[in-house]
Amino acid sequence: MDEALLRRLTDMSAVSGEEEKLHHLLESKLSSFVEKTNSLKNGSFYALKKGSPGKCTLMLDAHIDEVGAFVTGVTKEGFLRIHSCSIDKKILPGAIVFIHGKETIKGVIGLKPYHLETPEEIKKAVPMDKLFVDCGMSKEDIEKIVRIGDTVSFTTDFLHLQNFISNKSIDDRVGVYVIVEVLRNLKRKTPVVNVVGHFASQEEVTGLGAITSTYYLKPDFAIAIDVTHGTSPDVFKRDAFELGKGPVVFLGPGIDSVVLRKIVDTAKKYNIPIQKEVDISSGTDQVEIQIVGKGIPSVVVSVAERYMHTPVEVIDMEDVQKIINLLTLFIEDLDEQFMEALYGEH
Amino acid sequence: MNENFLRNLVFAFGPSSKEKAVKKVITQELGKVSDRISEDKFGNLVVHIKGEGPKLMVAAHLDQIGVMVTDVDKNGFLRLGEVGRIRKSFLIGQKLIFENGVEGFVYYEDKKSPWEAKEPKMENLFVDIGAEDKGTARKLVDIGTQGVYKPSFYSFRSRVTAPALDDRIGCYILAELIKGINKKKLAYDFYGVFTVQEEIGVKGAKVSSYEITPDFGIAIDVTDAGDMPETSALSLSLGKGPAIKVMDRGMIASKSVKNNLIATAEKSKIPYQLEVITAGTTDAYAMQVTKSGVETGALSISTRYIHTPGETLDLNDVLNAVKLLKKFIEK
Amino acid sequence: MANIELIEKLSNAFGVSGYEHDVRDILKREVREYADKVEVDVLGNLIALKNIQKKGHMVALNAHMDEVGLIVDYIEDDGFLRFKKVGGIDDRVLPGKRVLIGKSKIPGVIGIKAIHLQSKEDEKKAVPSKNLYIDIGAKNREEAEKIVPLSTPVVFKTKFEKISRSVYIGKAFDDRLGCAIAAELLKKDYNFPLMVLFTTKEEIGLRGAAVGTYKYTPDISITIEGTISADLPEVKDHLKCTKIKKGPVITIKDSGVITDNDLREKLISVAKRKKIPYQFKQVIAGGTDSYRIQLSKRGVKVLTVAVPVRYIHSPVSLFNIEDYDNTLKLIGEFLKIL
Repeated sequence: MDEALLRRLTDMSAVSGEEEKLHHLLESKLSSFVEKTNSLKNGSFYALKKGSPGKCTLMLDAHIDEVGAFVTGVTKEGFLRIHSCSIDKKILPGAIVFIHGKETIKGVIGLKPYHLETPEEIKKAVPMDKLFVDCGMSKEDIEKIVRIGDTVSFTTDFLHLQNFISNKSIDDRVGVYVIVEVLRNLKRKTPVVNVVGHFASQEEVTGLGAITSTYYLKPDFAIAIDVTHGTSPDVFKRDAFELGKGPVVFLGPGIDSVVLRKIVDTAKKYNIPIQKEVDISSGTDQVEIQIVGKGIPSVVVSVAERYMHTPVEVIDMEDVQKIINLLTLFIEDLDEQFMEALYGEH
Repeated sequence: MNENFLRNLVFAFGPSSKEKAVKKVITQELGKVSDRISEDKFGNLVVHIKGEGPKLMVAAHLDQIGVMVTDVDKNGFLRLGEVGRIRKSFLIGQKLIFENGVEGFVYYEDKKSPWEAKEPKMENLFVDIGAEDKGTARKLVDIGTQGVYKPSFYSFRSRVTAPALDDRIGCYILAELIKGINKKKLAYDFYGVFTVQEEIGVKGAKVSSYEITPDFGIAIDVTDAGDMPETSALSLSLGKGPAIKVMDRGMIASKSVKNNLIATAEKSKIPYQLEVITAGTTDAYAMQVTKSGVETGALSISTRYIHTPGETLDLNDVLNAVKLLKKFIEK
Repeated sequence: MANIELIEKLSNAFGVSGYEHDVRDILKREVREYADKVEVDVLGNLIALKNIQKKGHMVALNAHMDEVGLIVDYIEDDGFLRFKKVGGIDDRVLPGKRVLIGKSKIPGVIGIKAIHLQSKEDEKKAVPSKNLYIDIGAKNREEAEKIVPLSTPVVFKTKFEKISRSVYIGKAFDDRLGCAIAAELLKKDYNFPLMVLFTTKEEIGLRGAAVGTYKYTPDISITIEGTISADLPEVKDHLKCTKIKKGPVITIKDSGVITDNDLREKLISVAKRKKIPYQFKQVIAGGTDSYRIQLSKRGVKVLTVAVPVRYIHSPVSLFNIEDYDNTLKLIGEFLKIL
């Protein structure tokens, strides 16, 4: 485990559209494990590990963007108005945020003092368009640094909580971390397939990276690695998964049965516990990847995560290690028989 | 300002899939470059001006929102379905014109609220075309006949109010840009595409960008202005310059194109605004997700009351948009 | 004339979105000897090609193999199966129905608390599907999970039958009627290349069709559907959408496409000339695979023709065989003029 890497990955800010900020770190980490790395103009990054005979290519996909907000205006007093489609407005009051303008500055999201509010108002969540970011600057000063469209991200604080860890944007930097570690494990090995790690842009908004990079990279099959909901007192067991109980494998009508069976069989063979999530759509990059070009057989493996899309996302590192093991073993175990099934059964 | 051309664009009938009349107005205006105009398989009008450099596709959509006749009842009243996102409460009380010139007035089933229409739904609206029975009505229109707001054009100084400025203003800007192209100065291999069927799912742009596979894309469209009293819209104003898109519901503009537009505006001292909107998207979205991805941005004209008969904008923004794009495509 | 036997086989077959194997097998057997080439792609679409070497515009006929259904997503400690809906199903049609689960067609019932035990408020309310469950008679979770693993698909247990001279009831007429028509049409001779595309996963977002025209891209494509009919009491005329026994339904616009204006005029003139009754889809609702196919690559000219069906997306739907025959005839005649 390279906790320092996960920490660095989650500490970095890269709201959708700003993904190139992570490319340098990825390049430096990956270049010794793989034959090729490259930045794509859509904001994605990829790393290619060649296999032998390498007739087929497996794409491992995790998204590098994180949820965030966008500056929509500056009030005459110098406060910033913001908007976000992916963040719960209820977590914003009292938060400290980064604003990524010409330089990165800090701001706080305050509220009118409750002493001055009516009891009814206090019961209501404040809508996004009523919130503002206070950077302690006049309109004139802040407009020199910040302009409309600049991104706003959570400030970071990597925490150890007894058995678990917490930080912002574990969704989906943990997926990024998993792919880096899998490629590290494969460093001295020669799998039968090429493995391309795709670090996707804009999953949180449009799926741009998944759609366009898949067209470019033309994988034969794909695994999306993302997070799914973990259980907590306010989340029903049927809708979520327990931390520490292993990787969550996604099942359902949108998932390729051949790849899925191989994943499940690999877990069984090596005694890796898995949990099963059933739904119609996985809500991950896999949804986009599957219908690119002639179609890509694809599956999803996730880490159970509490408090998704907040600054305090929580996961169990043991689950992460198990996913790394599962995917490494899955790739090492790929053989001709699997390839035949992949193209034969459909 | 070529007001006559803009007027002709606004008066041309053209809901989604019925854009022929708009194409005709544009083809006539572009007479000088007409040898380079072609129509693709899907109906998009494509003007290709060969240049040395990367492929640039600039798109504006021909179609406007409209309605479609879905039923004619025994007393000759028409029922409607929507073509594009029409705003029902603005439809009531309007004059419509159908593709064959038949006109009609829109009213609603007023049994429950006799004076004002409350939360109108498409299924509760009907059109009176003056026919006394089904037979007469069916001679005038058929199931599937399309209609639009009866066009009008009002201007005061630099302000214009007309239906269908979304996106005839984009067509105007693109046509003016094309007319002014100096081949010697052109920095791109240029494709001007007047797209069809944008209002029902950015369709024309999608197949056109597949065909052209440009390196860069720019869509020209309208966007919501936010300078009216107590409005929910964001911070754009009329007359403060064309808006360079940062993001909308469908896309985040590609940095290269966005920054290049900003730099061009600043260098040429052309006023501009930055656009972040939370709803709606444009042809730019369709271009951006094509094949391996096209670096795409958009230039918008701040417009009030979009998708109503009273779309209002400022012609200075239009002139500045033409100027900015001209500078953008020149070496 | 309708091949009732084929319709019956298709209607009774198991084919929830993503699990279309049975339907695909039936269709594969049906079309094999008439096609030059039969392929299955990675999303499970079945593609049958004819006259592939002939010059001219390629025409595609397409219909989707999948049907709406349920999928088991959780098992309670006491052995009841919880489920999610696959495709759009009105929660109100679910309670008190028989279902078949998985490949081995395990029978189950969707139960509901007896009316005696319901409060006055309960009686008035529809039960959300999230609160419903399937009872397979298992004693506990372990037993249930052995028989029905998580993600097992579930279909309504409904048998195809004739209920009056020309009216049939059954499940999955959306879109097994389209499948049957497309298969029948493939058997005839044409002088242009023809592709018949049987798609998967239509009910969960037109997913099969999104890739089905990538390898072979037609110039013209006709989607054949079983479509919404609401010619029921207390539905206003302009909201009936389509009517039973009024002939094939020609779509001008639905929520996904405006069908090709010129081709549609040709289709209508064929109907008039051959005196085949037809009607238009009169409510702009629903989308079909045409939406995806129209936007493949450089664009495809699309048409949508359908058999009107009452009560689609429910355990039991109903259609009139005359509409089926006329749909088959209309498309057949139309293909002759291409």
